[in-house]
Amino acid sequence: MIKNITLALSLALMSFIVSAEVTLTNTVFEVVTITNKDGSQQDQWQQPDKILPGERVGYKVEVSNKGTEPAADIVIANPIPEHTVYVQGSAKGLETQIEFSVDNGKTYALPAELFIEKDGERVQAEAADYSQVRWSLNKPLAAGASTTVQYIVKIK
Amino acid sequence: MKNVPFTKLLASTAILGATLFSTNALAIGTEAGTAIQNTATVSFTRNGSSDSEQASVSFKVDEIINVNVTAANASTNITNGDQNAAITYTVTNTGNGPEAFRLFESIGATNDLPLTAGDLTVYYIDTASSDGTFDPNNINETLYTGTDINILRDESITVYIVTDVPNAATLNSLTDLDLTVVSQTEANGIKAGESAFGTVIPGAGADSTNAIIAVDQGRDDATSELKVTTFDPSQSLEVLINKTILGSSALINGTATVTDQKIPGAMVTYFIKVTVQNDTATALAISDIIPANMTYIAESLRVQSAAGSTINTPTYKAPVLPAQTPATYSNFTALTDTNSDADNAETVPNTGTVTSINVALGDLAPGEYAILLDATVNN
Repeated sequence: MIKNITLALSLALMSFIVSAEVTLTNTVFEVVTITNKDGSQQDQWQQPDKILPGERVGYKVEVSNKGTEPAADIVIANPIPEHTVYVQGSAKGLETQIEFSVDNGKTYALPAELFIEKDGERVQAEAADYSQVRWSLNKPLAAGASTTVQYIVKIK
Repeated sequence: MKNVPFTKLLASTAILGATLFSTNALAIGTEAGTAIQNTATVSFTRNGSSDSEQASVSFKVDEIINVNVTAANASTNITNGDQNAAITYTVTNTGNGPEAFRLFESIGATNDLPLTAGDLTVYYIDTASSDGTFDPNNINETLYTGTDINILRDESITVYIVTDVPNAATLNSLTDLDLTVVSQTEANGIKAGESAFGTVIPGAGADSTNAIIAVDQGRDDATSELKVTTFDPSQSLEVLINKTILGSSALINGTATVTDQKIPGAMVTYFIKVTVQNDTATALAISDIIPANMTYIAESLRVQSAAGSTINTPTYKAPVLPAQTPATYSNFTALTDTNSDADNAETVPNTGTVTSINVALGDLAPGEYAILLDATVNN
């Protein structure tokens, strides 16, 4: 009996250590448009100060491989948060394939291949229809390496 | 957020201007205090086995303080003398959280009726049970007494500014009435109702979020007019005057006798009543010319001028003859013939044969006013 418990404990400990080798951090920013001296405008990602309906919020999701082995088939999936809509063209990630879902994550496709039913007709999905965004890394993440993906939503 | 340095607040305020303006189309959005939860998942394989990790981040939506006031009509048609004439306003909380507001009514630049601040009362009602028409008998219409009114986001109330229209208001005269609605949010000495557009009040929003003022001074107002489009002449000021002889007395065979016969030497008592209706009569004076062949009895002017009284024709009382001392009537006060004294009664001329009398009564509220005077038929 005592032996069994020890075994279970060590298994649990092992899985904890293994999973900790790839870590994920998720950080939220307030995205504001600032006007430069020459009149041009650009987005700036700031620490969230106050966030109001209609304003934009950016998420940066960082994957770090802190283990000693490369991690492969890395896929980062992120449901579009409730009360927000995805901002078209905002999802970015180096060396990733970015796909979206309009059926709550059952299937993913590129924007051009996403369709929804609207008034009985099959129409091209718009950014506001997206329920998930997914990044698939094109190559394994080496030990000690990290990569960051990002996207922006607008608060309803 | 509550200890944000002032300089940082200023900087963020400047940026807010641009972002808020761009989002006016979404004036009412996600409710303040709503948690926006985001959970990302990474899945991967290593050494042939698959695994996954999750990371979450959450924040709360801050509160926008915004309010919109509109008048139901640009102009409201009234008739002089109307009771409970009302202008209807709609007040909408266009912010994204529940908010306490106060109402302030005022008279605008144009005020022909005219009205004073004391003439106005304010009633309000939740829109669900309002048809937009003020009804003094509707118990759901609540008299506003200056307290906070809580309005949920995207909800409206109906507000009435109510007044009685002066009887003397003339056709096409108009008065502007303004309703101002002010947010009552306040924290750490920052009042929404005294702060500029874009001001952040840390921690003052719903669910301890920050409150951001999206309407300058945390307030909005609307002005609308009451206009006399129908004139009711029966409601305007009317002054009626009526002169009668109460009675007369004469010495007949040396005996003082009450008689209707206006024989030479008979002393006649006149009763002059003025009736003021509907409105105040300003600078009203009663003048009476002493008829030819009659002589005014000195110091016989008596007046009854209590505001708003009803005066019945007194019963005749005989004077003292042959002394020609006027009788005393209850409720009437004796006036002196002396000119330019406090009682504002005078004879014309002041000395010699009196040809007329004049009693200046000043501004008279609706009611009845009367004077008595005596004169004798010349021998």
